[in-house]
Amino acid sequence: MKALLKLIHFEVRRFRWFLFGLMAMTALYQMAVTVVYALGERALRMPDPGRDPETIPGPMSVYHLLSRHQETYALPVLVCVVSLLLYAFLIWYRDWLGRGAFIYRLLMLPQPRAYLYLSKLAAMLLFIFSLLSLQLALLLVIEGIFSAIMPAEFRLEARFADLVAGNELIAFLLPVSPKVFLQYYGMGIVLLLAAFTAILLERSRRPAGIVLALAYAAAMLVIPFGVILAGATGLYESLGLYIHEIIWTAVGVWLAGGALAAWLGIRVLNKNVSV
Amino acid sequence: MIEIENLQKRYLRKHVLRGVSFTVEPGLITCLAGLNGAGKSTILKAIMGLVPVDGGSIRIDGRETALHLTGNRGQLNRYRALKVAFIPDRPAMPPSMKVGEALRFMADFYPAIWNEEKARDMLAFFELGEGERLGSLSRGTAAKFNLVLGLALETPYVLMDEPFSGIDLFSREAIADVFSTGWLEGRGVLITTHEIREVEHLIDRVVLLKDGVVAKTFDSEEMRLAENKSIVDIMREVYRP
Amino acid sequence: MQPDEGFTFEFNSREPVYLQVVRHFKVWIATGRLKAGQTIPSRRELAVLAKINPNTAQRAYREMEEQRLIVTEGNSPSRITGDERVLRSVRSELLEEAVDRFLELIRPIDVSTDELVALVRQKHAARNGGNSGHD
Repeated sequence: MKALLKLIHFEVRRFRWFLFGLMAMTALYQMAVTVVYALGERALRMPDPGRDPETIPGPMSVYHLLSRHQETYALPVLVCVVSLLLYAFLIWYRDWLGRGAFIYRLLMLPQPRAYLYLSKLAAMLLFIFSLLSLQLALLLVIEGIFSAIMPAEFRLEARFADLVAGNELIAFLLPVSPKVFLQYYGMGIVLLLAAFTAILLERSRRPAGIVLALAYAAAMLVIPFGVILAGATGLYESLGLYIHEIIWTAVGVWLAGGALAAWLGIRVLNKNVSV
Repeated sequence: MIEIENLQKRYLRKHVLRGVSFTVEPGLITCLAGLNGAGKSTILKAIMGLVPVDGGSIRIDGRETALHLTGNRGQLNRYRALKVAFIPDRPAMPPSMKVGEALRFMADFYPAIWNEEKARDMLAFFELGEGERLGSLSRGTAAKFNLVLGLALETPYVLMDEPFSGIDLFSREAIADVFSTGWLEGRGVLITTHEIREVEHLIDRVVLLKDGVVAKTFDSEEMRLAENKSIVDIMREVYRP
Repeated sequence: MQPDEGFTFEFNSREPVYLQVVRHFKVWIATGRLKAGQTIPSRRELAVLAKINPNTAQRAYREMEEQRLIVTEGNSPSRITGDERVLRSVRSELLEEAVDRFLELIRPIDVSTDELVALVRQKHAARNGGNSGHD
């Protein structure tokens, strides 16, 4: 167990500069952009004898600021999302590439190889959730900046939920309802497990491995599409299932998919993977 | 003893290992020799569980460890790691790591068998500093450090894959000197190399690989005593009849 | 017994290394480099010195013990034997070996023993210059 923690520590540590970079970029960008926009909005509302009072906008909340600049705020978030998607693959492939061939070292460690799988999974989850936490904190900072720049008479109150809802991408990534959050991220984790297993399959039988990996990926896509299709074709109704039964079936299918992915991935790591 | 029995390995068309059998005796230095591409490196990696084979058995001190036979279940990965140290022909550490960090890595993950004192002695022997970045080491220096990482583990067996390959003369000499020191003493060593001349006087046993099987096994001193032939002489007989 | 004192080893690949080690010792004994009763390095030290496998060093020592060239008492370091007969026989063994080799070399040449002895005497005297103590 201690070794698993050490491995997680190792995986996190080797990514730390990149992670800090992503965090810094996101924070600086969103804060800078907020300053610029808030100053702009303040300027728009400054009393000016030369202007027609009808054209001066009324007070606004930070929600409006966010929702008016979707792409701008979403940009760093998108960069983070894409980076993590890439790293989901690189976290494995980096160990095989280059002269380093660090995978030799990892496979030879006296710990069960399952720890390699689990530590990389844990690391990815830590990265994801730390970035999400950062974004939440940043929303507060953005509100703070907005409040600092906009005088009270130009400002409207906004609830925290509004802050999150302000940007579409952020709202998508941070669903307010815990059930929806669990659903999205649960499915995301299952897909991450499937990706890991596909990678390990590819690394197990060169050159045929890539075929295996793609075949597996295709099979794993059956789960979401199967669940959706069954719903669309009215299969559930014909089976006379209640709503909650349908939901639990879907959950069960996803959980089974995740468990299968992890089991298969670890098995391949132990038995078939090749340097 | 490491017992390799009837090892089979196929790469697509190429049937590299067609039933390789030999043993690595404790306390002796065994050299696995053969032409390029004969599968020597593959055998070493197979013993270490880094490459799966298609058939055959690999027993380390009586316990079966072949991946395809055991699924690497239970504590087998640990058993293998505590019994055999592998020194590959490449660094096997992230290039951004520093010498000191790599040593700490090993101490961290091998608490039971990492010998810190031995590692420091070897570092001094090879004149390696702790602050150097692994990626910036020359090939010879990296090879020496590789040896440190492997030999400071107190394992009964050591596997070395081409320790002299592509390395300057003086580094080769320094590495060959290791064979005379106490750092290998009492351990069963299996080494693959093309540079037989470098180690002609250091090897106890020779296993010659040809066409996917073991063509000949012999004790080097006995061969000299009985037939007045060097290891190179025998190799010439086997590979260029 | 250090390389800088002149104790260097040279091996060929066709004779057993351990026997070559033994021969090196015999030469040093015969030439007086190694004195009777002198302590010699441990097996491990010899391995490092000669750049050989410690197993080979072990084998060499065993052989030398069997030939009574060295003696090991308990845990003390081994020493060259003090036995005069052994030391003398080493000397004669090496001499005989050299003579045998020499004679084998000149076998194709037709020469009488007297002529041979005269030649040897002349060459030997010339080499030893003012040292007329040996015969």
